[in-house]
Amino acid sequence: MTERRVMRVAGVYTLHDSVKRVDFVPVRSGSVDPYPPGSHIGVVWGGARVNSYSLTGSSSLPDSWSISVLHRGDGAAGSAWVHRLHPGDTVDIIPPRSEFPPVTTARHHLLIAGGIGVTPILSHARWHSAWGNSFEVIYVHRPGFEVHLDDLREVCGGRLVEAVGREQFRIAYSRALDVAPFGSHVYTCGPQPLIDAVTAGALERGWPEQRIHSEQFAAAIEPGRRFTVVVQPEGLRVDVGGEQSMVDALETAGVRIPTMCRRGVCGECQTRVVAGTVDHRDLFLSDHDRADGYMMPCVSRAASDTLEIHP
Amino acid sequence: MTTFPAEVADFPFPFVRDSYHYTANVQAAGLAEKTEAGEWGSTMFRIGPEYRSLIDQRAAILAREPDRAAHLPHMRAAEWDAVMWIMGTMARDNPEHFEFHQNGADCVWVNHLLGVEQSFRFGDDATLPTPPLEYIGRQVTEDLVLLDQREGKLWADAGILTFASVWSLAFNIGMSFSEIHGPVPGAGPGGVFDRAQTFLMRLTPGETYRRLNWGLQTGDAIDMSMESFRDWMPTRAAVAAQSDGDVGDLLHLRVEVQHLIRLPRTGAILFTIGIRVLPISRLPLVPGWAERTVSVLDTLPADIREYKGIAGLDSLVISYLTSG
Repeated sequence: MTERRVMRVAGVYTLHDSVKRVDFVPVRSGSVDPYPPGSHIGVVWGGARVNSYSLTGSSSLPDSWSISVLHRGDGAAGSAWVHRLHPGDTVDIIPPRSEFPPVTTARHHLLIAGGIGVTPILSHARWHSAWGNSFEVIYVHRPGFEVHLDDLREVCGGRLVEAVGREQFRIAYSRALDVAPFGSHVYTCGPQPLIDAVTAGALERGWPEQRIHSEQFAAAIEPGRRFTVVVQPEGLRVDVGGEQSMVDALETAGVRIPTMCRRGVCGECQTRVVAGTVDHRDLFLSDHDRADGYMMPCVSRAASDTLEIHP
Repeated sequence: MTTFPAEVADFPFPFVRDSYHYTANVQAAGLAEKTEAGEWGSTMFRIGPEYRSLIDQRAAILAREPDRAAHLPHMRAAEWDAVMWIMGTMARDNPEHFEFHQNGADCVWVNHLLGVEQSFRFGDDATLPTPPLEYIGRQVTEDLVLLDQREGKLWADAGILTFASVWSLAFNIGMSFSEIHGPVPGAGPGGVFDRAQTFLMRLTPGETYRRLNWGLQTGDAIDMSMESFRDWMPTRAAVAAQSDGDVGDLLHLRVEVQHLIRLPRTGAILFTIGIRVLPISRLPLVPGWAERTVSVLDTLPADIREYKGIAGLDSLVISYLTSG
């Protein structure tokens, strides 16, 4: 069972029409646990749903766990729920997980933030600034979407390049790649097309894959075919739609699978498959685990018409 | 009710069953483990009657061989992470001996046992008299290793090791987990150390686990490192030659209490190794201990016996414990 902590909302700040920052502190007095830069917490809402958000504050000496949440108009109700929080509310929080940390041995850290993907990048920038590491930030955003821009300016000083729109980004990134010393690592958080562009640019210049890191912020479910899950031992049948994740469908049907990242990374929702073929899409399970009959239903789906699981 | 001598009552006796299994045998840390003689393991750092003497031994070893403490430059943040975690843990577990006060980056550490009071600023190396890991390493009796996680592997990139069996920090620094464990039988693909590494890499920040490792040795020396090889190897030869003598006070069961901690700020893994040695002559005091020791040694596969470096000693222990 995943550890959950009851936290109190200490402050809510509007950073943009569509973005609110929410700070959480322990309900009882006491210090706030530190965490590795680039970590995220899970906000539990609607009973058992969990949304993951990157922490943006000082990771070494935090006075709160601070997240900045973009209100999505696409029907993902978790962000709307967070936007309705008020100071003094209490919320169940899954403590920080680190899945996007800086690489200690990098000679230089090239950090790239796209839109609301600025959140873990700000955390990395604070870290590198505090430890005197070599780093720079490119922040690409739409005109007017200046979320955390002031924070980045304060933390980075002359090491921040702003890029408004695709063309400005292309020029800034190309220049950064030109001068990056051998042994540099690049980190991106943003929409998939940005991650793809950053990855392609670095690979073209011969960077090894181990030096290219990314975190996709949108838990977008890649569409797939419809299938039916048979939940053992009860034999309950649950239909999973083409645009729906398997865990979402199971939750709607009242079958609770513990989840955390919902991106196929953390390993929390690992589930035993007893029959059927899996279309594995996670980054967690080894080939060995898969051969042993495990899957990650937050991102993976069935390759057969039915899939039998035994949670 | 029988009372046992103190060094027996809190000894981490490693044999809980009658035959040998080489597993990762990992369990959650910080909980007292009951034995037939008492219990051990309620705290992660041991503050026993031998604390002062071990601290002095460590200082002497470091004065003689300074490269027993080593660190690669990229481990600076992880070292500070370890310092904060260890000080906080010691003060919480033994408030009568240690105090740790933190106000933002400003910290004060008090060690009443050693008469130390040190103010420092988190992250500022100039505020401590030695590199951070060595600073706290000189005030604990456990050997310390810091493992960095990158490229899907763990790397031993900093440490202070003055006691651990057949380790050499100067030799192992910068090696990956699998390189270090290369000689262990069964460590190959799918082997116990691959699984252990996978397990470690999935620990979440702040999680702590422990395991026991054991061996046999002659004499009660705590320092069994590669560097002190020329000191302890001759005593082994002498005992091995003494086939009919009373070896019960010369031969010792050596147990390493190892802790594995995912540090909160960096995600580095802190590996601690505490050493306890107990003369074989004490084993018959506790119901079951001598019998289980004999049956484990009896069922030990030859390659493990070789790896542990106990070939020859095991038969002496068996004949001593069964001659009674």
